[in-house]
Amino acid sequence: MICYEVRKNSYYDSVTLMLISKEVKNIEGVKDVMVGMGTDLNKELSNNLGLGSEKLDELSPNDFFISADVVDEAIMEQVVERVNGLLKEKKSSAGSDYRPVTIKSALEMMPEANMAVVSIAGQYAEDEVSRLLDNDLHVMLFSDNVSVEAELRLKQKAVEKGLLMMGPDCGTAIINGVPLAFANVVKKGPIGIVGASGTGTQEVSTLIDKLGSGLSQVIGTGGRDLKTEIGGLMMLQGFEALMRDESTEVIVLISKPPSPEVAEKILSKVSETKKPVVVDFIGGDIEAIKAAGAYPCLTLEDAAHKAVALAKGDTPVDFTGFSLSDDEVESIVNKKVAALKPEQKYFRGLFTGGTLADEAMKMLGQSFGGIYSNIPLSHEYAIENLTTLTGHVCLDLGEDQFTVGRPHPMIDPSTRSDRFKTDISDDVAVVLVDVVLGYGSHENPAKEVADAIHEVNKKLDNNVIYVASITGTEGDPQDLKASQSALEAEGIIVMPSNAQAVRLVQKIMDQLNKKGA
Amino acid sequence: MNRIDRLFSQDLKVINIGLESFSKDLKKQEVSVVQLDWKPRAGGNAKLSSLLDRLKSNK
Amino acid sequence: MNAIRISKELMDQFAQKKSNRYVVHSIFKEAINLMDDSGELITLLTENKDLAPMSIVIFGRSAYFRNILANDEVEVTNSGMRFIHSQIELDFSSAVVTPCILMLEGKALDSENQIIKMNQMRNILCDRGESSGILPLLNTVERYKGISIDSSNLRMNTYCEFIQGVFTEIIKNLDQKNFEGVVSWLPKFIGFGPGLTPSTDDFLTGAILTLIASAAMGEDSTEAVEELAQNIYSFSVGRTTKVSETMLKQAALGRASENHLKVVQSLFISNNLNFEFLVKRVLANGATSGADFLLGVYCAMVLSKY
Repeated sequence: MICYEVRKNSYYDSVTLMLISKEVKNIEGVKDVMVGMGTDLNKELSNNLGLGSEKLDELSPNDFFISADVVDEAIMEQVVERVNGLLKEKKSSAGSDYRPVTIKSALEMMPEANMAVVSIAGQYAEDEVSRLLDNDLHVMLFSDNVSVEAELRLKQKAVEKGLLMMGPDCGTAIINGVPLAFANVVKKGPIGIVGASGTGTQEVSTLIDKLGSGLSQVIGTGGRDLKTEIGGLMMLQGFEALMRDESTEVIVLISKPPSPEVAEKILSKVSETKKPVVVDFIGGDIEAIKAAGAYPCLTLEDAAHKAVALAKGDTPVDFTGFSLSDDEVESIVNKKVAALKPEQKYFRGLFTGGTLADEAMKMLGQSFGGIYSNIPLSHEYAIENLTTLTGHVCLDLGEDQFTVGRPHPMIDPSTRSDRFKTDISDDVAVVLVDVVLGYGSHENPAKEVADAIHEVNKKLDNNVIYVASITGTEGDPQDLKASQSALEAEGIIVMPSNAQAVRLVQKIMDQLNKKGA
Repeated sequence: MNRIDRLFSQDLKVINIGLESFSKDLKKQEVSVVQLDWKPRAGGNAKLSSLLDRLKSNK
Repeated sequence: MNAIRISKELMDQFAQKKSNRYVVHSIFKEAINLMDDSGELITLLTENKDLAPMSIVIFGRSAYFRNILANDEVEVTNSGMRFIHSQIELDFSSAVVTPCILMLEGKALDSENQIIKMNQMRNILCDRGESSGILPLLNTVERYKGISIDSSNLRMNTYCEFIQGVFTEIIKNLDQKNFEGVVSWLPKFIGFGPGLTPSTDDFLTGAILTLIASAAMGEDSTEAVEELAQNIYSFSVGRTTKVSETMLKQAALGRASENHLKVVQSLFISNNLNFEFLVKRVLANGATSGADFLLGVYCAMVLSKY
């Protein structure tokens, strides 16, 4: 018997219509089916297939119909139920909540899957990732404790198969506009990034967004990718893909200084493309970058400025200043420093983002004496004892010694809030912090910082200067503007980038030294 | 055609193995995602780190 | 919500204040159509979609779209739109304005390279094209022209079998440049196939744009092609879906989505665009729409080259 289901003036996208057609055909008891919009010719085809009737004749081209040849009415009820289910499923687009147990069954559920995000414990990761690569899936490996040997094996396999194997560590990527793991919501645009440092990559991508441009793809390679053992396999793989990618007009590479032979390999690849390439090997060899025909950078912010200038066809110039006018900066510095007591001498950098802490230390350099750290620039400034800090100190709170049994401070800011209590004392002049927004991060990190500082200030006799920068965009799930207001309400100076925040700290410390002298 | 080039021209469809919050983030953005109910294979190391431990790796 | 891109034609229309009230016509996951008093459609798209004629691309994904009410009234303001009952505002003051029209500036592509690109396109269609629409009719055209390339493995389906006769007539008339003959078959051709834009309409869109480009490059009379394109649109009114009518109307004006245009342009102009990538982007549209559009492009090329 022939049955019909009609939706007057209803529109469904073609993919949904096709899905309905396929699914209904698979129902037992359905002999034939036609799904379509009620145009004359579609109705004629239904008639030809023996699926027509007067009921169809009344339809207009803007009505959606299903005509099915079914065994009995009960089957048609099943058909209608299935169709309703599919239409609803499409609307909520949440997909089913059934959870497959193996990769094989997951692929049966989603045969067209093209990416896997893996965050299981490191010792199991190699097996699973290897299996995913065998199934031609690109992988973002977020797990830690993956051995260098395992990483090399997986990346070699990925390269052989022409796949991405992003990670481990540096859990950031934006593929086709979708942020994976720790990443921000940025505008689409002509700039592609391959980055080996997570928060560094996030900082550059958010600044590009703030400068009004946008990103094509952001590929996080994993923090060890440019070490000798791995040889930059993923950075080369990602770079080559961006060379070919139609939507990418400018390429940005970000990494801590690579080992010399890896740097050479990458820069020789860089000289092969006509696309402009901006390279920030944070503190690395600038001349080698120039020699390869690429644009070297002074800071992450400078990298963003240069990439945006190149995307617009402008000549990139070094960005070393402030977004505020010199007068405004000077007035802030004078006012804040004037309120300091003579015993307030020290700098504290308390970072959740490792690259941002590293950049801060490299920018500040030796300007006001060495800075002690858990990731020091030279070993004599390595901190032995984390319980009593002396001198200038800059900490990466995402490092292992702070996270044993606790989540990364970007997710759980309480690690840092606790450090505020112990690390900020009456002899501290200025405190520098980062606030990283985006997917993956805590739902309101700015408020956590503001609340913690509020508590700390209650216990202090002196007025400490707080400087912050926010790595985030208008599109991020946390509210960027509200984040800034929350910090400012607590008297924290919010600068537009980590580099500018560091520069302000430098000015404060310089002024303080003058005052002391 | 190179698989990465192909990826760039497709809609992202994700299999998530591990932290569920990544699935939730993707669903919020209307990205298709299947969450795997992953368990270590029999004979595997029973001393599993807590979910949160695994999040330390972002630097 | 904020618009990041807007098509120039639509911006011009807003500037002339031709229409400033719309009703939400249809809501999809990645697109929302709005209709004005005269039945004209304009489209809001998510960032995943290419800019189309008479459309606006919105920043971010479709999260906003879910909150827009069906049949809501929409008012155009100086810098945006207001969805009155959904209480959602769209700001397009900082959107980049881009024309979605066929542009043929640059050095003409020589015949040899045109054929190379046609073959690249053919290979992609035969390898990866969804053949639930009328793509398998590619074989029909090649057979008609007596081209002996390895027969593709596209398999005929009920849609193809039904329309093959009329399709052959259309091809024959196009080949003889008998555009009146083409027009006489249109009522038996327009508005056929699965999907929201039926396959034959996608095919015609691809064919028209290619014919326009070919004519503009000086190989044919533009006047005759323009008249054909206009006729295709007039014959589509009432015979196909509203969305499809709009697509054919735009095509007659040389307008289409960005990557669709780039594919056609790349077949006539020497440029450094990644042609295979563009073809794949177009293929990824809808279920069969992209493939059916490319079939139209391919057929028009085959007819002029062989």
